[in-house]
Amino acid sequence: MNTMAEKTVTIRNKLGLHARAASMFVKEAERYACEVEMEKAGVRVNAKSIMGILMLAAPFGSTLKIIAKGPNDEECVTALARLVEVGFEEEA
Amino acid sequence: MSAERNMTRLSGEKIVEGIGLGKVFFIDKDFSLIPHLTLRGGQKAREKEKRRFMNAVKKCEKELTAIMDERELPKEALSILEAHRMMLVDPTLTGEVGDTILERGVNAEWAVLSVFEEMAERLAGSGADYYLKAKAADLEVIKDKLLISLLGGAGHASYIKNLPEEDFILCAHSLTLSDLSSLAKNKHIRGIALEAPGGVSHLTIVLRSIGLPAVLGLDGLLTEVAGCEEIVVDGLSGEAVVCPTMPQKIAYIQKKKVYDEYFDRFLTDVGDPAVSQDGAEMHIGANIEGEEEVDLAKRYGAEFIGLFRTELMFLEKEEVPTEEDHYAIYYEMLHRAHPMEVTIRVFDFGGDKEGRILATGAMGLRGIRFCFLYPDVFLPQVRGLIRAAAFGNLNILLPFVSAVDEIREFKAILKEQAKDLKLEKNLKHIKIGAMIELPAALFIAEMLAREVDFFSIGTNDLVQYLMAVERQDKALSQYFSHFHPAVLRALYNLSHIAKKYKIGLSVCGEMGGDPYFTLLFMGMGINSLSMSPIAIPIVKKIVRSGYLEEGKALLNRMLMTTSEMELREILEREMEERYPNIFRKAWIDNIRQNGG
Repeated sequence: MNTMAEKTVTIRNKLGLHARAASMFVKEAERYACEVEMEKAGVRVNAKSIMGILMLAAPFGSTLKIIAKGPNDEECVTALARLVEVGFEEEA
Repeated sequence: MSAERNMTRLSGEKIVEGIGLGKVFFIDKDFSLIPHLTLRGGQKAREKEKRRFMNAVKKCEKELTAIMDERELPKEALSILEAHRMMLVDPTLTGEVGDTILERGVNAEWAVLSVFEEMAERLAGSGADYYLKAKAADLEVIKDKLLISLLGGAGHASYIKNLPEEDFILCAHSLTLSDLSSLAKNKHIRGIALEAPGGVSHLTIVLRSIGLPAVLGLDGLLTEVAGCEEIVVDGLSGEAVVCPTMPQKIAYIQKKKVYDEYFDRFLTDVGDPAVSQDGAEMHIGANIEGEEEVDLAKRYGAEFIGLFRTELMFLEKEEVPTEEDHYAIYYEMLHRAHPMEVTIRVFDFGGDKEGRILATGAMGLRGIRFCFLYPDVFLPQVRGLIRAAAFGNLNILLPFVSAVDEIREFKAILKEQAKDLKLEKNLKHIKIGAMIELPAALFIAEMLAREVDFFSIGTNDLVQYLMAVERQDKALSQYFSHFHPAVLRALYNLSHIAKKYKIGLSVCGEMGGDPYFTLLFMGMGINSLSMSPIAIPIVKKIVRSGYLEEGKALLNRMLMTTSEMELREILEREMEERYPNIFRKAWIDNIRQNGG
């Protein structure tokens, strides 16, 4: 139980982490029971909170860290990282 | 939440003189009243307020879900709505608002505002981000939704009940007349500070009739008051001091004392008639908005009610007032004012007098024109007036008259309704007057004089229509001048005509209560003025220490002067020299030395 997983990702979609992208991210994160956080430039927010994510400046090309703690954390981080890396299925 | 703010001094237009100090009571720009309330009743009250917030969240979510379910929306729009829904129920947001309510003991609306304000600051500080604006707009949408829901739909009305229980200053972008009339009844309101320009608007008129210190046109007020506890409204200098320091507060309390004493001096002999040193009498009446102001008018020395504006009292109503509504108010009015004469003006909707019942956008659809067009609205008023006429001295004033036919038509309606009510005998108690405020009325004044018992000059509208000036527009304000030769000559002509036809004449607009014109009016032969109660004591003072001959001399100078600027200079200089203790500049300097 005391595990932790993290992964650094690059924002691929042109609009960055805007409201819609953030909502998709949160929905995906909510599928997992583990705690998920997102970190950028020393600021860490709850990744299951859309408001939290919106408060991060994460424009196109910037990098951020996804950190998960708890059950299936590895799986969660992988899934979330994939979502970011594919640019939230947004047409580029 | 917000750190200690520093003192800020803002400059605006002085609308009502006097000094007010108190807590900031903030009304948001977009929603009328967003108060800053401290909850009473301990932890229980806080828990209850938090539940009210959570219910509002649920209600908003339901609304959003319903929109998503019911309408066939493109995928794009749906995903935005879904994002908004998630923002709304977001644990960070609801947690922070909930904590703010519980920890600070403030009302839900204020908690929402401060949490969103902090988020907006965090967002702005999050670094260069080219989609920052979009995010801020999303936040705004959620904030607005929550506030609307908390405020109970349309509005602010519910708020008037939740005003603070201690001295407060109302701070807002602008105010509707209905908000203002409710606020005026509050015991703790000490002043009004608004961002919107005042100029000569109905808002200004009502503010003057209420007599609370007021400063308008304060740019940036709402930004400054956020996070501030206290504010001073200085209606003498036209300033607002946000977050005053302790020494400033002391100085303002002192200045207020000096001013209040100064003003009280005028009240000592206010009940005496206004007769000049050489025996010319000036009759002075009051313009009022509600029957409860009759007592205020009497206290300030009014000899009659020169203008009772009926449209304002119905602004809060959702439905068209009935004959009974009208009757009850007019009866009360005449009864209270007896034996004073009471001039009741029939509905004058239009201009900036917004109302929920009737709003006319058209430039010329006002006053009697509007009344004729909507008999369902007008006839109950006429009937109420006829019934009330038995209980006092009633004058009915018709606004926006531009033709003799309109007077005749009104008389026919009056007769017909009296007959229907079997109250024809009441008609002998009623005098009928025409409001002179349109250029057309000026040119046919002699014809109108044959049809009516009196003229009432509405100087605000008269200047507006003579000069073609939109009153609210700051860019045009230099053209809105009471000193324009056209305006002064119009008044002088009307005075002549009224005398020739032996009918009454009273100046009831802003100019009537402006002490700079009092002597000149005497010189013109005008012997009746009606004004905000608060203006009466000073005007009476001027009449009493003046001479009719001085007025005539001023009139001659006026007739020989062609420039608006020169006229203004002459009048201001002459009056300030003659009455150094009365005119503003002199006594403001005086107060400055003594007090603030």
